[in-house]
This record gives sequence, C-alpha cells and structure tokens, in this order.
Amino acid sequence: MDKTPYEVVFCVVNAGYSEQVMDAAREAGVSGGTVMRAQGTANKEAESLFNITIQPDKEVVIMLVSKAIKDKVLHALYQSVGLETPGSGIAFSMPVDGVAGIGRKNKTDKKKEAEAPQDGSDAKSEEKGE
Amino acid sequence: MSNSQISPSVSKRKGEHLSENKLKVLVTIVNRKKADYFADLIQSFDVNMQMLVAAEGTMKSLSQDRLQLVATPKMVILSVITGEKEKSLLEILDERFKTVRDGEGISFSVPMSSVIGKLVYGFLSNQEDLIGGKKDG
Repeated sequence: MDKTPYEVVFCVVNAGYSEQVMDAAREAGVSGGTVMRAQGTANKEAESLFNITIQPDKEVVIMLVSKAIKDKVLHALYQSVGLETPGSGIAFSMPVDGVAGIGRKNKTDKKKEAEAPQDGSDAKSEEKGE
Repeated sequence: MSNSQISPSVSKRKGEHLSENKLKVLVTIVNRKKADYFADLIQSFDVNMQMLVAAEGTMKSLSQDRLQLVATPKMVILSVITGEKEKSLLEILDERFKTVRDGEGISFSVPMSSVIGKLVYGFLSNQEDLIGGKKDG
C-alpha cells in the first residue's frame, strides 16, 4: 500500500493535561484527538534517589496529523506540555501505512446510511446494554 | 535450518528470519457503542488478537439530558493484521464508517518492525502451518 500523507502523534502527559495538549495541537492545525487514561510505571529506585515523585496517572492523546504539520505539532507540544512543564509530557510520532475514515460524509454517503441495513449492529449494541 | 523447513512465508537473510508478509497494528477509533460491531468486523479478517481501550474524543458535545458539554465516549481497537489483508480491511472500514449509523470513525495502520518467536508470529498472522497446526499434520 502506498504511504499516506499522515503520521500518528502520541502525547503522554500527566492526568488532567489533555486539554492543554489539544489546545496546543489545535493551534498547530490539528482538528481533533482521542484521549486514553493510563498509568505510568516510574522507576522506584530513581524516584528515591532523586527524591522526586512521578505522578502515575497519565493521559495518552492520539492524533492523526498531516506530515506537513507534524513538526509544528510536536514543537507546540514540547513548548506547552513538555518535560519541563507541569504536564511533564512526552510526544512522538509514528509512520502510518494506510488510513480509512478521513473525509466527511457526502450526500451520497448519507443516503446510503439511511438505506443500508445496519447489519443488526444497533440491536446488538442494545442487547449488550450499551 | 533451511528456508523450506521454516515456512514458505518466512525467508532467511543475513542470519535473520524475515517474513514476506509483514504484521501491522491497526488502530481503529470509533464511538463506544459501535465498538463490538467494528471489533467483530475486523475479526472476520482472520485477526487473532485485538485489544479494546476505552477513550474519549476531544470534541465536546451537548449532553442530551443535561445542559452541559460532555466528552464523546470512544473506543480504541488495537488489532494485529497482516499486510496482505490491510488494503481490503481499510476499504471495508472506510465504507462502513460512512454508511453505518453512528459508525463514524478513523482507522490507520502502523507497521511493526519485529516480532520474536515463530509461535507468536504464527498466532498473530493466523498461519497454522507455523504453529504446527492442521496444515503440518
């Protein structure tokens, strides 16, 4: 598959700083992201040696961004939620091979959505109490 | 060990066993209530390992029962797929994202650079001949 013009940016920050991540990313041209809660695993020996406490609660923000603005996004994240800020964040990007779901629904798609049987997916979700 | 002894799909080069069929991690982000539907769809492409992680979208929307902005509940589906299935899987996902009600989402694949263990590779790529399954017997 041809390489796409996208890369995925991951930003791991202390819990509560994901909004700051998105604010910085939006200013760099990112339209949206997804936030996952996570737990950091700090080195206990290093913590006692340096007499610091690493906040274990983390948030991981995933953003699919255009390669053209990737460096700008990473730079913005470094400035606003980098390791020297209270967010203590790290950000990195990874290459993406294939992408689906980029681009909004057009009129034809909406018509298809109305006509298409939902493959029992609605009923299935309801059965599972979601 | 010669190439033929390993598998037709695994070749040996410069002392390493290199697969012709690379594994990739498919990241699919969908509305939480449609997660099972999309996980089942991906699994139908001979995907043996999936991991679902609860997440939230960063776009706030107005809550239906309360007048406040709430984060959209999402699910991140991490699946290990083979390179040969990638194109068809992304095509069907793209179509379903557009046609299934509340099924909007994005999906992208990230190449894996290495996997250790023939058994693990066989499991992730769904090749029974690599894990001493029916095809060997």
